[in-house]
Amino acid sequence: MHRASVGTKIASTAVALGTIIFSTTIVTLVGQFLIILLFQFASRLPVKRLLIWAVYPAFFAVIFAISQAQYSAELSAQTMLRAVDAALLMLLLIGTTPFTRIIAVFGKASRTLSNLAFFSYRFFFLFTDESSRRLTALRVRGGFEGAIRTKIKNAANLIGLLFVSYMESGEKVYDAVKTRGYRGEFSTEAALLGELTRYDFAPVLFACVTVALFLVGSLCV
Amino acid sequence: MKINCIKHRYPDAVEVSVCGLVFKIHDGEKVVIVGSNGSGKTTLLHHIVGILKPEEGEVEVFGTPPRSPESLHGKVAMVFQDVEYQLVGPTVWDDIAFSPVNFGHTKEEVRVLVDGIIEEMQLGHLARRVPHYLSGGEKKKVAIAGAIATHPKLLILDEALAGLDPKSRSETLNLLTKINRERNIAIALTTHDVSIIPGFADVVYVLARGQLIYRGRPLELFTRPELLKQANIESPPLIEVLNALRERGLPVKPTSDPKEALSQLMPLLSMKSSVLR
Amino acid sequence: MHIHIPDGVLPIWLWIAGYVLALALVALAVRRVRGQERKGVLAAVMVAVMLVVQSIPLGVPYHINLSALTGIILGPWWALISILVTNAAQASFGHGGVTIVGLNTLVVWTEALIGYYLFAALRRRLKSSRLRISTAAGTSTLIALVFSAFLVVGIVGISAIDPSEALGEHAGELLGVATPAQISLTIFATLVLPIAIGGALIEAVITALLVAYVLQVKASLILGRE
Repeated sequence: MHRASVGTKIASTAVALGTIIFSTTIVTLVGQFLIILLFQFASRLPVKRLLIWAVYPAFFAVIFAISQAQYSAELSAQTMLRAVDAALLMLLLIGTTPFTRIIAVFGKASRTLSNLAFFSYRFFFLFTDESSRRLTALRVRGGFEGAIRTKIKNAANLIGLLFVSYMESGEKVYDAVKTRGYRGEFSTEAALLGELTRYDFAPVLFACVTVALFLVGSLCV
Repeated sequence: MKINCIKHRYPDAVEVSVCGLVFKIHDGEKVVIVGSNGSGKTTLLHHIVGILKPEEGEVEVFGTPPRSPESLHGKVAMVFQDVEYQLVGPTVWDDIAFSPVNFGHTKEEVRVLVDGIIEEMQLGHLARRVPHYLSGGEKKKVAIAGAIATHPKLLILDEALAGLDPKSRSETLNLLTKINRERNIAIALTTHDVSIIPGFADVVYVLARGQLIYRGRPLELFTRPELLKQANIESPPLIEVLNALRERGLPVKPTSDPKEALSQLMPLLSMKSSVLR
Repeated sequence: MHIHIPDGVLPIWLWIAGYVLALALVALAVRRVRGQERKGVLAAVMVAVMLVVQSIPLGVPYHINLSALTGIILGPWWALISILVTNAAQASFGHGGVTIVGLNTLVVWTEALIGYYLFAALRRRLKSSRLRISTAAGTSTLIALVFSAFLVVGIVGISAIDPSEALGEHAGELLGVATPAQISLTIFATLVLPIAIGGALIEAVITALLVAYVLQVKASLILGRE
């Protein structure tokens, strides 16, 4: 999947998402879950970690599942499964495609949006590193020991400090890119959608299998 | 370029001025600006590239005052103190291509340009890597590559050697010397590491608390310890030793080259000790 | 409040309408912000900030947004664009349904809008002091988030409209998607509102403390370059 073209992967993800959304049986949704896991495994993605990440959307889907339970337990189960399947599907796409390539494809619609996404991508790395360092420094200095009021005050100050630091980083980055001639263009070496390659069989196969499963599931209902 | 007694007030009301001697850089020169923390080095550089505008004084770059960073595109490039802020490309290749793309080069021109720089600077093994995960020395190299991608006439580096280990520092200086020689790019570099001055700089400026107090050749600077003291800077140890020996009447000249120092001292050591006071 | 409605729960017509409206507004926003490059970079900062804070797990189906603060700092149009990018990025990591991004964007934008206008109004009425301005920010955040919680309940309520009754028999046969009438609005509201209001209180306090700190260190970030 890693070497397939971006366009094919996005298209196959869209098709698979459609089958997940419109599937009406638990068996189909479980089947899609297994297929996604299989392709994640074949793509050498960390399946266990991705399953843990998928718990998060499932957790948020609980509210809806409970709200639907009075109509049908099966409906609730479908809701939970759809949440997990959709999450794992997106993680399969992200895990096998550089995020910046996906930004570049969708950003063709708007340079403002793609520039924002590119900068945000850069800042995300910077900020997670910085917050990790500052949090460690605060811990080492005893910032989270003592009375609860002190802890809250220190946590609040840390958040404020990080926020100011992030905003100043933004200004510094702006100054830096202006000296580098920034006029609203972000370079990206790779061809936009990528040329079709023999590896495109993987996402195509994935889409075909999910569609076949969906059709079989629909016919059996 | 030329800067004459500038004054700038920052948003937090701190006022920084750089006065004293007129600051100049000529074609193809390698200039080192040395000064302690807070002496005004970064303020000076930011005025050159047009990020800051002086409230008093004059700044001229290629004959005109820089209105903004855009007005200097293609002529002046800068490597910032913290290169994290200027590495914005998703990959090293994309980052080096950033300026050429924004300056309007065609895709093919960009490809040729970037591939050329990558080969010249031996960055091939890093081309597809994410800049964020590179080591400090690698990031500096990529930042320099991105800066020279547009063939500027002047390359400015703010504390370019800070945080580098001795090997990376030496490699960076060699790279800058090569760029200066082969591409005829003038270089202005700020530092408070005086040990790099003798082997690198054509001209050195000393900045002390907002005052440019010296402009001249590197080795002449080290014969004037009072200037260094004023700027809160220490001479390289070898030069301090040679200065101390010269004060005691020995006919030695300051040099940063240990072999040259040895060749001066060996004959003296073989002479009778009556030479020494 | 960021809706974490999974894909396939809301009827097609509703999430498509959400996308159409959101993208139309974003297209307008993009025109309005043309030339504002510096603010664009700050908007990217806010996107990254929102992504960072929204990934902090709190043990309940709720997370901090900072959407109201985004509105206060960026203004309505950049806030809208930032929120769309944030939601799209989150959906790409399975955090929130892909089909819901449009509706999400609209809901979270109302938080930014209310935050922006209410904060501006409160600032005009109150004397400038760090305490008053930070309290105004916290209050605006609280009201914005509570409003959006009710908005989410309202959207789920709208989704309970049976299309067969509104548009005719076959309109209801939406390819087997769970018909919205099968969500108990009462249960949903009972579950969501207390969590959302509790979360709104926490976020309001965090926003107020954050603004108080920023006013002390770099007031221009909140008050603009006055």
